[in-house]
Amino acid sequence: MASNVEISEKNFMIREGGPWSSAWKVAAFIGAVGALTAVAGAMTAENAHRFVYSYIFGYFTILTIALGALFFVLIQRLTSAGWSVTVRRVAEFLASGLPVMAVLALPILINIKHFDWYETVAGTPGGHASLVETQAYAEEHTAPAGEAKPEAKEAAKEHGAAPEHAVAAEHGATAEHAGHEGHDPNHVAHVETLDKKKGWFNLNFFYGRAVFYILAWVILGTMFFNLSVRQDKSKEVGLTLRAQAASPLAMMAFALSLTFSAFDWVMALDPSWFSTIFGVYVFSTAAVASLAVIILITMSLRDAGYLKSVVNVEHFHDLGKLMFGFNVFWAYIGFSQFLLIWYAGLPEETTYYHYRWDASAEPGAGAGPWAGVSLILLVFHFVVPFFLLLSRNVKRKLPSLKLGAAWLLVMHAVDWYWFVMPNFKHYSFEFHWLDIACPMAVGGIYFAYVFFRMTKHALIPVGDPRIQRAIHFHNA
Amino acid sequence: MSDKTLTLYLAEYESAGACVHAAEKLRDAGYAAFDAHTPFPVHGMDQAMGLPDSRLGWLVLPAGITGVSLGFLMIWWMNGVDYPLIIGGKPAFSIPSMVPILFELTILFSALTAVFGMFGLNQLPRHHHPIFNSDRFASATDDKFFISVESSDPKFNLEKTKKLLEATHPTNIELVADKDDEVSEDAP
Repeated sequence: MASNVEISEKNFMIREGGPWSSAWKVAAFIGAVGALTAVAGAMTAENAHRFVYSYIFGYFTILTIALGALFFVLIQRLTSAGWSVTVRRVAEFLASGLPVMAVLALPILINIKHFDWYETVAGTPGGHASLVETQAYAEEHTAPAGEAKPEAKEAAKEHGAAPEHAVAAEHGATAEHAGHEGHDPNHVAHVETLDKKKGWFNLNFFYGRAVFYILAWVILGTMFFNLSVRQDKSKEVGLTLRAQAASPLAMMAFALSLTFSAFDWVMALDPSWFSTIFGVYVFSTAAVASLAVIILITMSLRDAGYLKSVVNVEHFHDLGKLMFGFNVFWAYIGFSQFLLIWYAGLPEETTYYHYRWDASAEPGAGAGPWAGVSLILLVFHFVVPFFLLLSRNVKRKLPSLKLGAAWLLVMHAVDWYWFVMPNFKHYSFEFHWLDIACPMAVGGIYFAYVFFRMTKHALIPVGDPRIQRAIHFHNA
Repeated sequence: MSDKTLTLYLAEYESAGACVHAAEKLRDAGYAAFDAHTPFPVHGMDQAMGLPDSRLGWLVLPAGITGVSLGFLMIWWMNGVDYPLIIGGKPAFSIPSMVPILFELTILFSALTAVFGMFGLNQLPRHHHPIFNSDRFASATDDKFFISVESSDPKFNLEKTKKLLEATHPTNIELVADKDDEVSEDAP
């Protein structure tokens, strides 16, 4: 297994003129087309609201890849892993794109008035579809009291962004509502839950958290990449020790930023719903998708003639095992969330599966339009890949592992579509061109940056003290 | 096994590398009834010995499927047919509440089959093996590496096997037999 190629920077650089030296241009082109289309959509009044949902879908589909790659780097550093050194650099490239993802979070932050909770907090109703539903709730509240309604609305308008006022108005509404017979019980739960969340949805706190995520991603993405790249030249062992020493705190920052950014920007799309395991669920998607991307990029580099002497079937076997394992973990976490919500049957929690299973425009009409997507996820994100990737031989054959990785990556996008889009319209499945444009924009820009960095640095950490262990790695 | 006394050659090596090379030589010479004894798992030894992929998976998969099926049948019969009880307002026979039990039974059947299947495939438990008659063999759990070639191998030959082993530069070769038997030089 020993290689004849000398482990030096120049032997592991991307050559001029090959497909990989211009890959970033292709990605940049896709990103530019996607971004222009998406911006054009965001500018129009009819699509501005849809844009936010499509963008969050695209953003998190890609963000989870970058964060998962960061997790892969951190776990290798934390455990002083030897086997993964030759595949770690690809993950480091992917994680080094996190500063780009931090910048790409801005469209979400700029558009927070499109979140359903915004009105509750800031008292400035928007005019879009989901808000109309929320407003319908509010009107339903105040309707029996009759006279109270215009006053409350006036007050909310006058005081604009004053949160206390909105709280007061909501409180009044809740009290009135409680006395009204024949109301929708889900509705009371909705309002009460939102009331309790006002501290969390405080705007300063919300932006403060966003600053924390962005700082964490910029710092972690840059730091671990630089520590590794500097070692290419200096061969200094101390850099490995520094990366190892930094990884426990980095792991905590990773976990907190991933969990709470998903809470703030995805879970909050349905503001009354909550699930404490949601962060773990998002983490599982990140782990699966990033391993799939690491496998695909590493294989593609090998196909282009790189890494042949240092990455072999043993490494792919282990990456495949991790991907398989984390995909089972994904199903386990997804089911855990479902089981608890199903068993408890609390109205403010069951909405999530109601929208994704049996909600249709006419009550009692049976399975809704999202039930099909839910079934696709169950069968094609778990059952089929489980049996496809179960066997050791499948994971040790590069074409079949490549198929499995590509498959799971597609399902990863479906999964994120399923998280985000039922919040846009609860009762219908409508595909929109922004659902293509936004992932193209985010993915294109992110991968253009990652692929560009790949042309500037060695494809393996040539200065890592454990590199020989990785080259001679065998599964027992 | 035949009534012939099991005899074996025990070759001792100082390093894992030498032991792996010896295993490769024996594999290439067509031996099958030989084994390596090392203080720790040696990477690459499976290939060096020419061991095929473990058959354990072919036992575990059906066991897991059996576990999930039996679990399903059990809950269907108990909750759905024999003694339906409404719990938490859910249907008496409802699939979501079955999943944890189906999962656990799959794991239980798979894990037990993996453990006992491993015993079976390794012909364990085994109360006696002549290799323990060698005094030097105790250091296989300490700092020495051993290759044993058993006389049950069709290629086993006192002269030729010894020559082959000598060519792998062991630090020691000994012929080990069951204690009460004398090793006769005209053994096969």
